[in-house]
Amino acid sequence: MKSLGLGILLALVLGAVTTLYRFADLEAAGAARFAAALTALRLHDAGFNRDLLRLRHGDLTHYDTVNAAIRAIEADLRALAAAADELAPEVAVLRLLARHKRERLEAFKSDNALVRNSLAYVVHRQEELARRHPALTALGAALLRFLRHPDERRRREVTLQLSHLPTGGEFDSLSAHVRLILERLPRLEATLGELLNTPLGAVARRLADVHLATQTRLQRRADAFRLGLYLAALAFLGYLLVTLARLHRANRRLQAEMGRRLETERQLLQAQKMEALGTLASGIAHDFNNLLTGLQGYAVLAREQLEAGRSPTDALGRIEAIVARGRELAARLLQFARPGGGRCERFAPGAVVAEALDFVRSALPSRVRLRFDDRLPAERKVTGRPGEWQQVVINLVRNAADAVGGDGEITVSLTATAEGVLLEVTDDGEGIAPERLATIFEPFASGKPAGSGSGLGLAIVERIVHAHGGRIEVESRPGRTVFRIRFPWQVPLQR
Amino acid sequence: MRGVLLLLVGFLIDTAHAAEPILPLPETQPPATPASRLGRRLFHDPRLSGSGRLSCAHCHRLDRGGDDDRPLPPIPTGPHPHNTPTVFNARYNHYLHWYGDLDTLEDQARVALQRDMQVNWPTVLARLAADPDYASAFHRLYDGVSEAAVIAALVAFERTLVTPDAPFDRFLRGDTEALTPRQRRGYVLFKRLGCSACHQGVNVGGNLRQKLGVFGRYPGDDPGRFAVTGRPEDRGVFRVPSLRNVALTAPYFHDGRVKTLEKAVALMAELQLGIRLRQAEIQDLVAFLHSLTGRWNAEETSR
Repeated sequence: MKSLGLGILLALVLGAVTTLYRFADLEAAGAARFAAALTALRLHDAGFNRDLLRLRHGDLTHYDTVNAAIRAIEADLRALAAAADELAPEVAVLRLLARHKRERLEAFKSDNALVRNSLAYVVHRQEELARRHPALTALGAALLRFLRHPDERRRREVTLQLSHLPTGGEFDSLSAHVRLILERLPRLEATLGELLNTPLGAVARRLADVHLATQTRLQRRADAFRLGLYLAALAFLGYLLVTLARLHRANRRLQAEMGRRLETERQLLQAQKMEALGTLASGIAHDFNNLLTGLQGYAVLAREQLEAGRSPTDALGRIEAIVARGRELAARLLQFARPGGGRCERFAPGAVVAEALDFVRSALPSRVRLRFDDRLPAERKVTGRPGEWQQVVINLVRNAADAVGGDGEITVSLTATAEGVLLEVTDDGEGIAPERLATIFEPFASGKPAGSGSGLGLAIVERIVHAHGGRIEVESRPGRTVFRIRFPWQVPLQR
Repeated sequence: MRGVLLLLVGFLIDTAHAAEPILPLPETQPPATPASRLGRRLFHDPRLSGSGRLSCAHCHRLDRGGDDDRPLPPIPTGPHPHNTPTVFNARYNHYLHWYGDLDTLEDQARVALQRDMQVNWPTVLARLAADPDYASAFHRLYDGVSEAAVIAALVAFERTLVTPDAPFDRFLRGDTEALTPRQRRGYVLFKRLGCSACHQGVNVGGNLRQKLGVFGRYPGDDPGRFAVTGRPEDRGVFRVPSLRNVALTAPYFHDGRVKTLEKAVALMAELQLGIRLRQAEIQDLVAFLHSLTGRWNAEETSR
């Protein structure tokens, strides 16, 4: 469930990033070029219209600027078409309008040239001739009114004045020019109106508005994506923090649990040790009894010697020796019973195993023979916990004693190998049934009748061996069972 | 304060310019470029034509004002053959040819090669590619020999064919002494009579179309722009030709019918202005037209 949530979050973040990137990549440059070309087109169109009016007015007297403007407009349209595909229909409308303007411009130029040409001529001649022919003054006035409002009434007025002119020579030229003005000026005005009313600029402005709106919408979409990205990142961060906190709590719980387990295990180890001590108690009591018997004998001997007036020095010496042995036995017992696995130390395995065998020997039935075969070099030492080694030895020997029944042989041996010490406990007892072999190291899997032990012996042995970084294996058939334990020279660092 | 004054003076000069119907050419020839040098070779190379005997320069003779001094070209150029227009300053024309039906120098070059020089492109391109000089120049400039590259190089050369420093241009830039008194009278007349209504702009024409024969009928049966558009109002309409270097480009008109400038001026006045000029007026106008002849240095195009 958790990994699914994380996956969805990741997919959200990735999706937002990708979309944002693609959007920025595709739109921005084209949109900027489009807007620039559209602005240029509107400026060129405005300049074009202005120059048309100046041409009509006579303020501008050449056509280079309008020609340049219409070429610039066509270049702008090419730039527009190259910049954006989605507005192609609108650009096509602009292109149509521009083509129309270019075409009408040709008519405007031709008519405007003729009208200005004739006007120049008429004004010049009228001025010259009016001094001699007053009729020309009236014609000039009528023409002036027509120039301001080229309608039908004023046209008839000029025609009337023309009919009053003399004929021949200069007058024929003059009236021809005036007629040309009468004919062409209304058409020129119409063409000019058509050019100025061609809505190239207006359509371009509307297109600019549409484009701006599109841009704004895209910008808003980009903002939304950015916000989404931000929120997703926030959620991601929050999820990370929660997960970290959970991990931290779980870790603390685990550590506490581990502490409790270690403590329980330690207590278990101790309890089993005490149990082992209990089973050894009769043997130990027997030992102490022997010592006490010895003590009593020498004490009686010492009294008899005192009463006989002889010195009991020898008997007292014996008593001291026996007491010393008793103290030593007590010390060793205390040492074994001391709670806790103890710290790791370096020790000679032979002495520690021999001591454990001493404890257990007195508790064995008299017909059971216990042999110790120490093949280790004397100075060879291992690191480990000697108390736990002894617990292993005692448990295995007790099990072996049970296995051989009242009569048999148990051999304990120590051998040096490349990796460490091989401890073998061999007996010639009945053996372990094959179906039980797999479970003998599990707690309460005891093969002994109920009440004869805690059922923890071999389980404890396995724990201790593993804690020392060692391995334990068992090989059994009727008449020969071997427990092999391989202790390394050094306990691995993790313990 | 001084800035404002300068701005004001600049504005006045600018409006003074705007008030004149004719604008000066740039003061110097455009500099040669690698492309224009390649175009110059092509322009003079008869291998471009189908026959292998005609080059562009065959009709556009750069030592004769950019045309061929003949009434009509010696080659078939369509149903209505026209007098060769000058190639000089062609870049400043709004459109090209007598009907004004070609918008760009590229279009003109393509039509001239196809129609007038009967170019066979695969053959010509193979010829050019076989010439190591051409091949290396084309590879350097255009990624190889192609029709578009040939046209581009020719146009690059044509763009250098500008004739600056005409006396009239110096006059427009403020040197009143650049024109003789007769030429100055001619210019005043040129504007007052209305010639400049059509012959205006930087090329003194070349930027609008007009009916030839407003007040009379031009001889001959050329339909004019009607041949292109088929519209009745375009009958007899031609592109107004540029008058720059007009003194060098006789004979005159689309059919090369008129041999002298004097006769051309008189005919124009009659047909377009509806007036008969006096001899003195014609002389003044012709003197003015001579002031439109610029300079062109062939060496600068190969430098």
